[in-house]
Order: sequence, then C-alpha cells, then structure tokens
Amino acid sequence: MSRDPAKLLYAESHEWLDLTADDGVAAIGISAFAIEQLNDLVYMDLPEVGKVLEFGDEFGEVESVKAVSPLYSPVAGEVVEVHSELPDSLEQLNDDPYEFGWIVRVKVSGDEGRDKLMDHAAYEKQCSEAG
Amino acid sequence: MIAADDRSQDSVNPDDAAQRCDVSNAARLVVSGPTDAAMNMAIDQALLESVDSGSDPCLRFYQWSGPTLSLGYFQSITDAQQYLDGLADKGIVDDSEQVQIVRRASGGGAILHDHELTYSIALGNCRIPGRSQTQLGASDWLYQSVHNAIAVCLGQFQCDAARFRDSEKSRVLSSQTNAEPSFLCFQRRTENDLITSGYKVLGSAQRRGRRSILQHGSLLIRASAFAPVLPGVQDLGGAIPGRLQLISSLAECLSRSLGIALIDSELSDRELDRAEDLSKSRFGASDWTNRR
Repeated sequence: MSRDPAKLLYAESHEWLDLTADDGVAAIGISAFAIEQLNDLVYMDLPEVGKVLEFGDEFGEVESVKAVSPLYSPVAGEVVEVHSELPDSLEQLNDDPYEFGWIVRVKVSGDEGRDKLMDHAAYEKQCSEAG
Repeated sequence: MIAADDRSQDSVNPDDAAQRCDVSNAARLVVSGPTDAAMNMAIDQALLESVDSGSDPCLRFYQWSGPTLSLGYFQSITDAQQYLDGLADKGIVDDSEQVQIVRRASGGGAILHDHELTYSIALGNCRIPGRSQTQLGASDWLYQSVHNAIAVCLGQFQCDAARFRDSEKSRVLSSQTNAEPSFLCFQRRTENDLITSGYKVLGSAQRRGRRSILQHGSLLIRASAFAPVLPGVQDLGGAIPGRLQLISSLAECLSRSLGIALIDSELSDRELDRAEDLSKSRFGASDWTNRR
C-alpha cells in the first residue's frame, strides 16, 4: 500500500515519520521538499540495526552538492531495519521519497518529542514560508 | 579586531539567538596553535554545536601538529592508505606513517595539511542572506563570500587568484566529465574553488547543523612532500607574509565580506570539554576513522 504524505508527521528538520503501522514500528524518511533543497544527493550513511535513538539524535548523513547534512531522528526507539538498497539508489529518492524513500524503521519506545512534530498542513506552511 | 570581552559563550535560547541575528553582527575570532588532527576536527564540531545553540558566529584559523591527511566524510580509508603507501613506493617519502589520518565531518576530497593555513567559520542560518532557519543543503553564498574575500586578500600579496567558475571552466570540465572524482580535494574542481596559474589553492567543505552551517577549508601556502604535485600560493609567486600577518589580513577581508565585527576570543570551558569528548569518542576513534 502506498504511503500517503498527508498522514505523516514531520520534523522541523524535514524528516517524515510514519506511525500508522499496528506493530509499533515507525518508518522514517526525508520529505520531497528536503530532497529538492539538498539538490543531487551523492551519498547516504545509514545507522546499524540495533542502534538506540533518542528524539533528535543524528541517525545518518547525506552528502549533496558541497555539503554533508545529518539526519535527525523524529522519534525515540531502536533501529530494527535499514533500507540498505537506498544509498546505491539515491536517484530514486526524487521520484518516490515516501514509499521507496524510507530510510530506517524504528521500534518506538515512547512519545518523546511528539509535540515538536508537525502534521502535513503545518509542515507545508513551514516550507512555503521558507521560500 | 576588537579586544576580547567577557561575554559568555554558553548556549543561548535559539529564539533569542534569532532576535540577536537581527541586531548584532558580532562574531568571534579564535586563533589556534598547532593541534592534533582529532582535536582540530573536534573543535570545529564543538563550535558548530555552540553556534547551533545560539552562540555568536565563530571564525577560526588553525594549524596541524604534523602532516595530516583529512578525509571527506564519505571517502574510503583504504584509498587513504593506498595513497600514502603509493608515496612510499615511489620513494617520494621515507615513511608515510608519519602522516596522521583523520576523517572530517564534512564531505569532498582528501586534503594533505602540511604547509597551509586552515580556517573554519560556523554561523547560524539567520546570518546567511535568503536562507531560512531550517534550510538544508549547501550555502553557495557562504562559499562565494569566503572565497571572494580570500581572493581579495591574496591579491594584496601579489597572488592573482580567481574562482574556478570565472577561470578555466570549459577547458578543465571537458576533461573531467563523467570521470571518477580524484582522491585529493585539490585535484578536483568545483565552481567556487580558488585557482592561481591553473592550480587550486583554496578548497572548502560544509557540514550542516540544525540551524547553522560549518564551512572549513585549506589555503595551500607551499607544496608538501606528501603531495608534491600541488603547489601553494608561495610556490606560484605570491609574496605571502608570516602566519600572524596573513591571519590578520584574512580576518579583515572576511569580516568585510561576511558583514561581521570580529572579537578576539577563546574557546569556552564548555566548548573545550565538548571538543575533548568528541576527540576521544569520535574523531580520534578508530571506528569513526575506519567507518568506510
């Protein structure tokens, strides 16, 4: 089933969070707006399975033209799966940031930071104000 | 430069920092002596975190305690070892093990730090024209502003440097299209690199924070025995002064270009503690250096 961006939560730092699964495992990626701003991703670094994250922890990096940008976790939990195919297929992120573009899956451990996330409408407003 | 004051560099509420951006152009100037590789990278990271928490921007000049190869974040440690072994195999150096290796948190190619001057600048997104607080990716304005300023400064010392985009773009680009990027940063070309007599003499890289950017770069003064094919500005005819005068001139040019008023400063206790922690846990740790 295709992931609907309107049902996701978003961090100020442009990561998206999908909490819709029943098993307590959330998927995390980066938004279409972020991918456009980053402009031509060349590398991505993924965490190891088993890494425990607090809300806001760096969980990976991407290198785009002339800058390395950390990825910040929008949720607290343990990494249970990483999208190992993604770093070799970054060109597909542009086409499909929400389905193919999942980066990690995290077993959620709590609500830490949930109040700092935005729904789709609020995130779109942040993006439009950023220009 | 203005003499140091007692302003604390402990973290500031980011909302207050945003207001401060509107009313203050103050920035810190930190000049470090020769320092080991891991600590140099750790200090840059600590300054980025400090600025991300709301501290004033910080311009830093520094050197390395010995010849050091700094790798871009995504470069391979195997390539680094092969490069150094290649120097020994060719009889260029007797012992490549005297070169420290460190992995940067920024991207790009490998830099051999020996007879050069390294700078870093950490500043909040609010200080960058047209950049939103949460903007991702590189700041071309920062690359241009810093590199233009350094080009102007070098001009004072009979060194005619221009950005690559304004120089030999079409000729060199045609030879590099679709080629694998060179291992060494100074054998690559990007638009804002500074070129003198066809050679790259200044290259920089950026790493983003949450609401800030760190840019650091290397100005080649003279060729190193560990990178003999890369001449520096002095080799290319520049009348480069001693280190302190060079730093003073660069700081003046950068303060004008970036619109900042520099205040002589030192690392705060918090920044030093954080840098020492990062030096041990990250930049000096073998699992960081050997991560790919």
